[in-house]
Amino acid sequence: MRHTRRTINVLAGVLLVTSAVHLPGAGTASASVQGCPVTTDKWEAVDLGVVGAALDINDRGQIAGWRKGASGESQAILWDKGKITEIGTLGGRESRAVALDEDGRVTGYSDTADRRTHGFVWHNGKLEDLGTLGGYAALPKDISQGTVIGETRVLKENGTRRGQAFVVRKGVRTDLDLTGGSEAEDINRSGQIAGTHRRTEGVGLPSDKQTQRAFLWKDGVVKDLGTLGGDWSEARGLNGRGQVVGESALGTDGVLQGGFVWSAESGMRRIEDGNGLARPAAINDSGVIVGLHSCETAYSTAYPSVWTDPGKAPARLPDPPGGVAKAVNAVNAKGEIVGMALYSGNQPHAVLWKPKPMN
Amino acid sequence: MATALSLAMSSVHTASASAPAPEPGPSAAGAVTERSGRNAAMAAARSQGSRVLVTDETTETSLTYANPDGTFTTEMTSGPVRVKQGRTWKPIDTTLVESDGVLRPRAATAQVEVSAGGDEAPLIRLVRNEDQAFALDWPAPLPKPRLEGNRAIFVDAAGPGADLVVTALPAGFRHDVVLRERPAGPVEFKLPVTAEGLTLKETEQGGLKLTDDKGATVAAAPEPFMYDTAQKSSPATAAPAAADQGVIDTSVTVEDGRPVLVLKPDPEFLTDPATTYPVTVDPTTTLTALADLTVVSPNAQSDGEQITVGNSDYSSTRREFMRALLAFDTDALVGKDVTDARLELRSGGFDWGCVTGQTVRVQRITSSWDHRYTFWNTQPATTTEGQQSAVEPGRCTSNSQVPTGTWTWSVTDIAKAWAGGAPGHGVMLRLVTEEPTPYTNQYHRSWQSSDSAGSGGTAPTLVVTYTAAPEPPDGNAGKAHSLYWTRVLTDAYKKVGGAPGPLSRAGAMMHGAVYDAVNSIWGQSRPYLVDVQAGRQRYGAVTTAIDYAAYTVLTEVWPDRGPEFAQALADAATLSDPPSEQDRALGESIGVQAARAMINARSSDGSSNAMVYTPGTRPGDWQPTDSNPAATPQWGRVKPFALASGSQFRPALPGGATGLSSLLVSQVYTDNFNEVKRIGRANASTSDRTAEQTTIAHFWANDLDTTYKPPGQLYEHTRTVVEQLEEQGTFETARLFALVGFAMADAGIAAWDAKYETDVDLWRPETAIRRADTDGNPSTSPDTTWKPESKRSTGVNFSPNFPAYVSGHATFAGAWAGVMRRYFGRDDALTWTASTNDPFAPGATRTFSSFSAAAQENALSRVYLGVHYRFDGTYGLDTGDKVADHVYTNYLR
Repeated sequence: MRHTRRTINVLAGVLLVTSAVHLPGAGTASASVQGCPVTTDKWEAVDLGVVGAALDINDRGQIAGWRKGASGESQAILWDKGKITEIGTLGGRESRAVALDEDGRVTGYSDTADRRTHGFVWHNGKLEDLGTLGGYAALPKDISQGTVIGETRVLKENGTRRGQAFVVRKGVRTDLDLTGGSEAEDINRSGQIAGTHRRTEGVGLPSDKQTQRAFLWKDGVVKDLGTLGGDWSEARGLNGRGQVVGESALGTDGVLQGGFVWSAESGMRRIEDGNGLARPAAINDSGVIVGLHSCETAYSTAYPSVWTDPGKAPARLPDPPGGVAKAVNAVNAKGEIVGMALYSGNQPHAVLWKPKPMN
Repeated sequence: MATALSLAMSSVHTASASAPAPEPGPSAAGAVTERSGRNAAMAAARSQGSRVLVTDETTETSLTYANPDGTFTTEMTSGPVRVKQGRTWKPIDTTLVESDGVLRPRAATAQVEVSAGGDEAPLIRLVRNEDQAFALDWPAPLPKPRLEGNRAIFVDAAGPGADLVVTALPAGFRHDVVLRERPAGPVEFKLPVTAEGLTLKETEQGGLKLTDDKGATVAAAPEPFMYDTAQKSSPATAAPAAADQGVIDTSVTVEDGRPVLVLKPDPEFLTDPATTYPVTVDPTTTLTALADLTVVSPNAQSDGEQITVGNSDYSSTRREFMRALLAFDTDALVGKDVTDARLELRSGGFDWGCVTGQTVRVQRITSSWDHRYTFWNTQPATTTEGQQSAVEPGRCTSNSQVPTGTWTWSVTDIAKAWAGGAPGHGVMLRLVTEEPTPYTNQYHRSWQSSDSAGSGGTAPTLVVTYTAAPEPPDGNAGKAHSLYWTRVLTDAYKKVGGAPGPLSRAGAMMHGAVYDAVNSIWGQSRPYLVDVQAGRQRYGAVTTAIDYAAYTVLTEVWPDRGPEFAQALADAATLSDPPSEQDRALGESIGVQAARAMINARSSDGSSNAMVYTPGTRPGDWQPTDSNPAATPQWGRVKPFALASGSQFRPALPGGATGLSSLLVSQVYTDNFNEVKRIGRANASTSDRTAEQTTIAHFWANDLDTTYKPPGQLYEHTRTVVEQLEEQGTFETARLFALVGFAMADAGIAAWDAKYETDVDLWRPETAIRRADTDGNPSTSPDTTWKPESKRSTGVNFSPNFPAYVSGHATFAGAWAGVMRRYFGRDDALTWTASTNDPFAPGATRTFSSFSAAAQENALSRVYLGVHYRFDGTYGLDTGDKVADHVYTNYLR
């Protein structure tokens, strides 16, 4: 779950955090150099001490991710109260845990002995092989209450490859009824699924995203979320309130792009990018958005950042000691954020950003 | 002794590799018995634990098997034993059958037609090709022949009691006259010859030869002779007396304008009371390229369905010895690692004599020999190196009970010599001891020769087991994988963004690892870092190796993008037919190892060293033009992929300037300053910058994050070029991309060396024009509001945040074009249409007919965009070309 379910008590806390922080926004641009965000001091970065990355965190603080094995391969792992559990593989070389739910079920993908990519669900030490779910490879993306969603890769008769969004609920796989290629990104507790589907295929290359649209699916009904005016949009995260974040093209070129947050009430809105480039990755129930942000759109470095208000410029998340923050992947209801930082020698380390206690 | 004539056809011993192979099929037991290619056969052999025939490599004289232990075995015979009919190989079967009014062998390598009687068809006709044929006529109408397997017997055709006998052989025929009774007087046979495109002549040695219009001998026969039947009489209990043989006077005359072969058997032999009838008059003999032959002392040879080693006594003063020569086409063994070889011969039925300590030894022949002219006195040289005695089919205990069956010689060392380059002249079989005294230690062994293959015999066979590289499974299968990962790479560029140096490093790492992975499987050239299978058998799926090499590098370089690369890995596996599990596992291992070697080599290359750059304060020193600090100032110090250092080809300053201040007042600076000021200005009028120049400016820019950046654009153009080349295979595709990758990565390092590591870290035009009042140059005037055409996605004009001299775009372009030009051997090798990813040139394409034209336009585009002086491009192109020359000359070849 890359979003969190709505928890009133926790939400209230986060709102307090938000209101207590003077994050740079439109009105506080002077706090940064020519519009580049300052680094927030309301979160602290913790190096989880693992060469790898953290991809998801639930409200209990359990974290799913991967670490590097002896020969550079990725191994799916679960952090729980500082303890690391190795999930293992389905017989192949590599595995990655990409998401977990509130009950500690972990989903991800793994190589098999015959070098296929299968999805898995791991729970309390038991590793279940989901197979390839109808395609040649299955790539789960999220799990909630044991329901797994993601993308299975399908080879069509004309030789093209595409994704097919799936949902596996109680052991039954259902393909989301979408035309063209599709992938399911996130599922929330009420069974809404956010994802991206390709409305028409093979048109408008070189950008392979030009005809993509973010969608929100619920009980067989697909809602196309539109765009920010450009040719494509892509869903990245979904919270328990049905809010979706992602990226969208701004114009017909397909290259100029911005980050968006979508809600049923307001539709798709561009989030503040401070004249830079916003790439949201996740949103929690209180509306905290995390993602990458570059303060310029050329020759600039993208930093893990946090938006506490989509209408205000983001703040950079701090680097962990000795490293450079590089990726941000999920935020839970407590405002705990996980991602990855690079250390010397390009070594990735899993990172947890914890909200600092309020005074 | 019988001899035979056949035509040696150039195609006889050559496999037709291009012909479609038979469909592979499972055997009754479900196991695979054959596969068309080496890799497929090896994969099947390994998985099922039994050998599998490689049908693509079947020839008339050889079969090659893949063994479960990873070796190959080739079984080669000393003459053709099978023939290709349509798509399938059939065992040679020289049984004569009638069709279309003539007799033909069922399956033979020579196209032979024998008369079915009458006078319409010649006695024998041999067709070499459309233009060349050879026929022997008989001057009188022929009776209908009696057929006995591969023999056609024309009873009394040569006179009362004189039969014509034609025997079909695998590669020709034999023609005899059998005199069942002593003729009444001198005998002379005349055979009119029809030779289309061929000429029949007598040879200096008294034999005959057929030559084509270029004088090349296509068939020949040594001096003919005749023999009586005594020699072949009952060998059962003791050595028979040797038969005598008589001379046949042979001549070629012309009668009625056509050549006639005239045979005059020696009348004295025919009338000698000692001559036992029937007598076989054998006018002609064999020529084949590969053959077996018996040489007989004092100076004769024998060729037929048997080869012989031993002694044969004619009288108390005359003992003949026989040795056998066997030729095999061992060229295919050269360079192989031979692990075992044995020679196998099947007993021929004329065997007598047990002698303690006597056996037959095999020796390697070390000088060339021509089957046609090889007699006892002209037998080739041999070496005792590697010689071996026979493993006989049983213990010889009685002269009358000589064991027969398969004789075997271990010839591993001999085959190793051939594999090591010793000329493949074949082997000689000879007695261990050639005891000269007649009637002592009589010993005679015969075996079936290659000529027996068509009539139920077993040709001498050399069985060689060796290890060898598998043939490229599909010369092109890996190409799609290289192209696919290039697209994955450039897609990642769009998401990663930033300065081009780190992006070009990632590309060089990926393509370099892919190259080493491919080369580790095919061993075709020098590795860049590692040959994973050096000195070993080379196996593995090259497609899988490419996928894992690329995947492993990319996930290492961009660890946060693991899931998208995992998807790419799964997708890539569907690009080509799935290899066997074994090949796939090996391919994965090789790809990962090649990638790890690259990752290790780059782990401390200085690319991630943080460096704080403090801009200088002199006029001309680069200054930030926006909120961004100087990008990747450490990049000139990064360890290059091919260069000794980033400064190896450091360019001099333009116009002979000796330093920053002299550059600022030089004529070239003045000219280039004023040019970019006019032509590179934001929203310049079309009189200053044409619409096409504006398009060019943005077409090559790709400065913005979310574009694929300059290295990505040049990779895309490489891809476009390679996709045009159908013949570009896996290896060359990998090599080209690795060369381009190394050159571009080192170009980035060289450009950044010039930008940051010299005294001149030149300001961008944006700064220079705004502050021209400080440059000390009276011919430059300031414009404090000047902006470059270059713009962000927000429309805000900007200059890239690093010094101007030299242009990164131009250095990348010069390196790219330099590699392409050298690789393809010419600058204008082809025409291609280039694309862009820049948001301000949407959908634009540019078509080029030379690599350098594209590079020059790329360099000039930076002036039109207002971010560079023309000399930044000129010197950048030159630096890039020097990098390309160094990479191309010294690497991956």
